[in-house]
Amino acid sequence: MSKPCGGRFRVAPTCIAAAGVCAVAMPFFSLRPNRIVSGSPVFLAVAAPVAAAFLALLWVGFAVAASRPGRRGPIVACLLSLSVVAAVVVTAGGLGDRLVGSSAIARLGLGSGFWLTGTIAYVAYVVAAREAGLGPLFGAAGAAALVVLAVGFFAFGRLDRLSVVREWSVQRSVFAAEAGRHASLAGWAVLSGGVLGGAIGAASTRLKALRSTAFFLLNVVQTIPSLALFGFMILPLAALAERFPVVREWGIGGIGPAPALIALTLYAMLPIARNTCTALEGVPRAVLDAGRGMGMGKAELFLRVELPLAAPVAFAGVRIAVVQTVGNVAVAALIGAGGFGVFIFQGLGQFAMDMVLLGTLPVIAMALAADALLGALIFVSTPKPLRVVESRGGSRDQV
Amino acid sequence: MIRFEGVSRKFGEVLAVDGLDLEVFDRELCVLVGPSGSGKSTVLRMVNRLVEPSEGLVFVDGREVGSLKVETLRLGIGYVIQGVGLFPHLTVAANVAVVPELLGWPKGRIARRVGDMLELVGLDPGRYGRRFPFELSGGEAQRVGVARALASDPPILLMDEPFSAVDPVNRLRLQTEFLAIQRTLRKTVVFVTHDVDEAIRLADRVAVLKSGRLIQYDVPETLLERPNSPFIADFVGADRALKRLSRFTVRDWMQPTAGTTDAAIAVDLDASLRDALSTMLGSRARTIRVHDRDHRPAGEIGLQDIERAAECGTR
Repeated sequence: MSKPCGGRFRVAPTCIAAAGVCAVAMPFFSLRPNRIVSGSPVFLAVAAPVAAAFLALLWVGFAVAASRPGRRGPIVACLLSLSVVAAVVVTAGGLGDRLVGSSAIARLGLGSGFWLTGTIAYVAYVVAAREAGLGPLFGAAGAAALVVLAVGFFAFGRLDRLSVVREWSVQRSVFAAEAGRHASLAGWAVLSGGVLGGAIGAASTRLKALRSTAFFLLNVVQTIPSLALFGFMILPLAALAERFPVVREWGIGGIGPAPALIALTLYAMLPIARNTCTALEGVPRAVLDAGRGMGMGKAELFLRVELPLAAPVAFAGVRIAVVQTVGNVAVAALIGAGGFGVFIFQGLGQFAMDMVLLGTLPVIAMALAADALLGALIFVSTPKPLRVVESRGGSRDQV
Repeated sequence: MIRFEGVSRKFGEVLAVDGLDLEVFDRELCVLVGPSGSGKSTVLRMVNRLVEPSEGLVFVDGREVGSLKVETLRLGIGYVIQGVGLFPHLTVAANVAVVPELLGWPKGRIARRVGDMLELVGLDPGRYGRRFPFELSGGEAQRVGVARALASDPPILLMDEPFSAVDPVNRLRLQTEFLAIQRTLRKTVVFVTHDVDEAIRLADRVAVLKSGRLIQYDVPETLLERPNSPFIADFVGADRALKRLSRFTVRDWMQPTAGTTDAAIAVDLDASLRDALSTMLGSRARTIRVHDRDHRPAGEIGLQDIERAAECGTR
């Protein structure tokens, strides 16, 4: 059935692959004698020509596979983009051993080529997965595979010479503690934001007055930069702790996790409240009328009809809130709430970019992982007819 | 039995229903018909208290509806609405099971009942039970709506323009099937429509409303023969002789002498005399064949049979 057509290569995958090849040519790593000195660039084509050629080949393969009609090509392209990341991890391990050797403080910094390749590989994966019409389950599986690979390499000490890992091995115990703080702060903020935002969203479908006021205030909160909002919390909470010593005993003060939690909750409320409200109002009137007319009471109508119909959209709001909160927690380190932000700001202060990375990378990883996990959870728990089917990539680029 | 006593309903300044006195008799199909804005839907919705009257009383089985707990009242009344209002997140079977579940029936009984109901409306439970509403055609969804309303075997059925969103061919089929169901179940039905043909075809008794007032309430034959006002005469239309024919089926007036006519033109056993006449006129034949659902010959019907029916007052 297949007939030769003009558009052999499609524009989007080809551009992505070209960018990927270019990234290979950029300084991939930097060899640094210690944590402060910026070091000398390492070009993959020089230091590891085989790896460079292999990466370029993977990208060409991606362009070809993703341009193929049907589903199989894009699925292969998905796997190829994952392989790019895997190849980069493997290369980093090998080069670290070879270039750094046994020096105790020398390290392999990550260069622009590395970052670009990672980013482009992610974009390539998303584009190919959408083209193949793969659901969020596949996205979560891909993310999990990469995590397993990276953690495996890391656990076997293959990545020990990377600057970030060096930094981590120094900060090991602090890192674990801050990771816990980051996760729990984000978790509690989304939980309380979810309860409050969900309640406000549900109530504002019934009370028009509450609706305009609540959404006005939440929108205003959302426009305040996170740093400023954390700052706003300091004065009133400090005054409160001053006035009532009991409050201080609970660990609440102008700085620390309490003001951070309040501010993060306020941020998390808007997307959840807005989506809950939209979702409940999107329940068709005919369906509500039928339910009421058949003899459902208010509670039954809400539990059996409104809630299940609204849940997917409402939980999409939770998903947005989670990603947003995980990022915002990083800023909360400035008011002493802890979390990965501690490394970011310490690193900035010491001009140690590796330490900044030690804070930044896990934030990104946590946000992406939470997003993929929630996406998959929402997909699995949504009844078939309510699933939002992602569009099967755009139209073919035909000449 | 449903009774309205001096019922009015205002929406703001607008009088949607104006001093309505109406009695819907037991086991009859009462069609409320009228132009849009005549208040017919409001009348229907006052039976199950989706709308409360501003004045007057509504009685169901001799009890004033306002005195009953609203959920109890509604659980005893089947409800079918335009656009069906099936729950999109539930399967067909789960949709039909809603009221029995609310009534707390045991699981096995619900499952059996769901199967029976789907069969009653002509849907194979094995094929349709696990489908979701979005996988149904308009006509299928409408059948599920009827099955759902009948699931708990309520004595009363309220139907608010149930077939109006379906294409004409399917609407005719649904009407025929619903009439057959109604002939066996004999529910007390209040049926709202804006389509006079549908009203004439289905009703035991028609109530014509205009701007919230009941203009005439009679059996279809009387409505067609003796309209009590120019409005009714105009509303039922100049083709009322033809409309009467739509109440007779070929089955009741044909000659069961199979195979004597070699005319190629045939009409269905369950078609109305109006359709039969139309077929005759279209094919310039004075006699046409009649066949059953499976296209087996059942007899023939001629122009004189139709004339006989038109002269006769009753069904």
